[in-house]
Parts: sequence; C-alpha cells; structure tokens
Amino acid sequence: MKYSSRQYAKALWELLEKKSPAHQGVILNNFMKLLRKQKEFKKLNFIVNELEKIHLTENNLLKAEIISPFPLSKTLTKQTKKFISSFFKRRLKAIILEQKIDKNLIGGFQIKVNDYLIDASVKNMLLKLKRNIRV
Amino acid sequence: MNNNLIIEQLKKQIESFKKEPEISEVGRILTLNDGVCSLSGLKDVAMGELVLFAKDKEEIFGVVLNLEEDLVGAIILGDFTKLKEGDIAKRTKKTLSIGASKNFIGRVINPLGQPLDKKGEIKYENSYPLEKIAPGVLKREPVNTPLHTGIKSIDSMIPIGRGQRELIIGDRQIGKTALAIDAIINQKQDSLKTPVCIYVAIGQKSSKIAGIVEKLKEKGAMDYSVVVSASASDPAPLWYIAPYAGCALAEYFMDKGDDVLIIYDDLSKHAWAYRQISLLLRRPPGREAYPGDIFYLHSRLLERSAKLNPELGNGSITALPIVETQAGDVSAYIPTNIISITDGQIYLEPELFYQGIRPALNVGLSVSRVGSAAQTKAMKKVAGQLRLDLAQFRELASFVQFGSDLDEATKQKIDRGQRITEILKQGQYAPLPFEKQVSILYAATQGMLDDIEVSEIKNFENKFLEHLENQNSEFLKSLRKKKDLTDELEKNLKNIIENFKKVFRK
Repeated sequence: MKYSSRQYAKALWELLEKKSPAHQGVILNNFMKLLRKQKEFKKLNFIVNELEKIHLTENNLLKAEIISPFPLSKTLTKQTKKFISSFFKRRLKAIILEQKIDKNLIGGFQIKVNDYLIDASVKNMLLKLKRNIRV
Repeated sequence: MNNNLIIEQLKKQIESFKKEPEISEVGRILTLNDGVCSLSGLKDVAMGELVLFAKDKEEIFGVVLNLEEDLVGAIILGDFTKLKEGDIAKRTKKTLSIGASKNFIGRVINPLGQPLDKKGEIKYENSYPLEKIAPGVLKREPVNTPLHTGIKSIDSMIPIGRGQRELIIGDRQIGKTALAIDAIINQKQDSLKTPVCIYVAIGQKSSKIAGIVEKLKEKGAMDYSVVVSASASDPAPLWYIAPYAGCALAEYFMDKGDDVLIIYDDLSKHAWAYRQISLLLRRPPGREAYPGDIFYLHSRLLERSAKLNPELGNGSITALPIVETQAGDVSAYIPTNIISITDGQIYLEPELFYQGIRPALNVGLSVSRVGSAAQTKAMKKVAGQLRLDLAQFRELASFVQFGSDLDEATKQKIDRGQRITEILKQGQYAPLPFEKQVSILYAATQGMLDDIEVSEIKNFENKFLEHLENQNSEFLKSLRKKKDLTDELEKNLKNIIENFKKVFRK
C-alpha cells in the first residue's frame, strides 16, 4: 500500500519521541530499510520537509525568512520577531528568523512565513507603480 | 502633447500613490513539467484562479486546475523554461480573463490578449472572463437570419443561420480551412449586417497562420476580423485556452448587439492539448487516453454560441468548429462528441476531392439542423429542388457508362445531375453573393443549361456571372434588396438567361 510523505513523517515522529539517541539511531536505520523495501526513496526529501513542519507545530515554533538588501541589526531583528508574532495571534515559544540578503530589492524588506509573503520592498513598490501609472 | 502637462500628470500620480506593503498568499513550485507545475502552500486558492509567477522582468501567469490535499496543480501560460523549482507563486484572486474592445478588430493576438502583429498595445476598458456559463433558454431566440458563406453548395443545401453551430469535418488537406476563410471573405459583400469575424488558430503552423492573415488583408477582410493565434510552437496551456479567449471576445461583441462569426481551427488539436495537460496533472485517462471531461471541454465552449432575444440586443455568435478526422473515420471519439454538440455538419470527402469536385462536400451526409429557417425566400425557391435532383443523380450515377441504353427520363436526370454538379464546383477565395447564387442555380434547376455541354458549363457560368454584373446590375440590386424571387424578377431572370445563351453560343 502506498503511504503519503505526511503519513511516513508522522509515524517516524511518534516513534522517535522521547527515545534515547541510540534507540533513535536504530529506528532511523529501520525506517530507511522500510523505505527501500517500499521503493519510496524518492519521497525522502518530502518526508524531511514534513518532519520539519511537524517539529515546528509540536514545539510551537514558527519559521520565517526575512530578505533585505542590508543585514539586520539586533534591534531590527527583535522588532521583526515581535511584528510576526502579532501578525499570527498565536502564542509562540520562539520564532526562528532566517536572514537573506538580496541587493535587488533596493530597500525595504520581504518576509516569507508559512503561506504568506509580506512584501514591503522598494522593488515591489516600483513594480506596482509601473503597473498603475497611466498617461 | 504638452510635455509639462505629462510631467504634471505623472507627478500627481506618483504623489497620490499609496506606499503600502503588499501581503499576498504564496506557494512554492515543487515540481515542474512541460507547462504544468505542482505548488505547495496556497491553501485558500480557488479552482481556475490565476496565480502569478513573478520573475524579475517578466510576469508569467498560471491557472490552478488541480486542488489536492497538499498540492495545487497549475498550468503555466507562458515560457515555463524561465521558472525553476522553489519559485514563488502568488494568488491574484482573479479568474482568467481577456481584455475586450473594438480596438481588437484588425489585430492578431495571442490567447492572453497580447498583440502579435507589432502594431502596438491594444487599449481596452472591459475584461471578459474566459470561462462563462452559456446564455440560458429564456435569453435565446430561434435562429432566423442567414449567414451566407458565399459557397453555392452550402448556402443552398446546408444553409447556416446566425447563432448556429455548424461543424466542418474531414480529412487533412481537404479544404476545411479554405471553406472557413471563404466564409469570412464573403461577409464583406453580403447584403446583411457584416458580422465581426474571429479566427482562432489552435496549434497551426505559424507560416499557415501568416498566410491566412495575408489573404484576409488582401481581400479586405481584416477590417472586420480578429485572429487569435496559439501556434504550433506555443505551449499546450495556450492551445487549451485559445478557443475560450476567442469566445470571450465574441461575447463582448454579442452583448453589444453585433453578430459574430467565430471559427475554431481546429478542435482536434485542442483536444490533444487538453489531453496533454490532464495526463501531466495525473488525471486518470479514459478512452484514447483523453480525460473523462473531454466532452464538457467542447460542449461548454460551443454552447456559448447563441442567438440572443431582442431584449438583450439581438446579438449572435455563429460557430464553425473544424475537426480533422483520420482516414475519414467520423465515428472516432472526438468527432462523434462534437457532432452530437453542433447543429449540423459539413462533411468533406477525399474521394470527391480527387474527382475534382471542390468543395468536396458530401451532400448526403452533411446536414444543417436549422435548415430553411435561415434561408432567404429566393434561395428557398431555387434550392428546394436541388437536393432532390442531386440525390436522384447519385442513385443513377453508376449508370452513366450505359449512356445509350437508358430511357429518356433516366438520361435527363443524369444530364441534369451532371450539370448541377459542375455548377456547384467553386474555386477558392471566390465566394459568391447570394443574388448571383440564386441566378445561376435557377438556371441549372430549371433545365435551362441542359443544352450546354458539361465541359462548357464552367465557362458559361463565369461568363454569365460577368454578364450579370456588367449588363444587369439593376436586376441584381433588386433581387438583393427584395431577397425574394417575385414573379416579375423571375420573368426578368428567364429573359436574361435566354438572351445570354444566344450570345454565348456564337
């Protein structure tokens, strides 16, 4: 029977919970053998993605990505995290903020979190301007 | 235009521009196939919604067609080689639509409404959705106005009305596109209001499309036509939306009260494109590997061709879909589907084509379910006898070899049939206005050509029509106006023919 990546990930997560590292090693070994037997090795990447998602929800974490043309100062990072937690109205233990530099944005920033994109970059403003200008 | 004025306008627009951050729902490309991609995220996206793949300089759109538990399947309307795994797709919360305005007339566009003829941008105010529910029963009216194609065999025996769907079906290289183009060209010289003509080219060679546009320009038909082109090198999703784009444009004109003639050339390729997309979207294949909803694909397109009632403006869309058969097999899957949807078919046969009968119309198998409700009174009078004469001739056709051993009645039928067949042959790009058609068909059916050699008939017809045009233009004008062969006009015509025969014999 074919299982989805999500089902594999959930099963693996539940097995690995509260086990010693040695035990976890054995479980992972068996898991790889199972995948090979079911010929589902291709799903490995997707299973890892799903595992990450489960880890974030179980531990009440949120992963976000902020892209800006300049590196963020400590205060800005704190403010960003505050803003994101207010945006989601959920009580979060912590926010994992990844930073990326993209000079093409000229100014401002982009925040990618879950399925949302908050675009406050100068590049986007200029594109919107271009679309809306009529002479 | 005043430079300062432009600069002032620009300044005003920039100042009033709202500098708000944009919050959009996004997804990422997980897998990318030929023109089809699967996206993660986009949890609230709707079926058929447009998504935007924003690359640096270009905007590539996609249409969501598959909603699964963890994935969204979308087709890419553009060059998918520019996208890669991990790219972002934004929701636009809009469905696919095309701009519509009078400015499209005379232009060649792609299914997204972008011009292909390098004549500049096309301005429009309205946007018409590509997918729309067809007008309901109460909004319609029965078909009562003829759409003259200019081809004698069609206008007499398989008449098409405005608002009808008539399928043109046949093998390759048999004259299907030629019929459609002649129908477009004829609208210029027709007595009734000129309809807007839309030619949708699906999967055709760019050289062929260019040739058609040139021909239409040459005959002055581009003044009332639009060409929607999804050529052979365009990706399958563009082939898929091309007929719907043409239909949306047609609906714009129909809502304004105009008549529209739309030609889908051809729907077999359209079905192939949809099959390709469905298989890549992992939808289960059915008969001949077509997806289960292949019938709905064409039925919802063709049902949008209608004749609206007077309250809604009396506009109409006449559709001439073209289907290519393989080895004359009309009982294959796609042809039978479309035959059951349309209001009749024009069946072109290779045998007749090679015998020299062009257009290679098989009168027996072709039918128009609207029939004489869409014919002028004059044509009705003349054409009534025509079908019967030809049917009787076909029955006796095999006896032609026994020329001398037959009784008078049979011989007469055969002679008449041969002459009518000669008259019904017609060259390409030479559509005839209905008054000329009525004149020559009257001569043929009344037996006034029985004393002319079969080999001379074509020559007679050409010279006769020329004579009518030059010496009897008054008669043609009154026939064109009255649309009926009154006793007076009939007497007049008889005299003209008799007099011309005397001149011809010399």
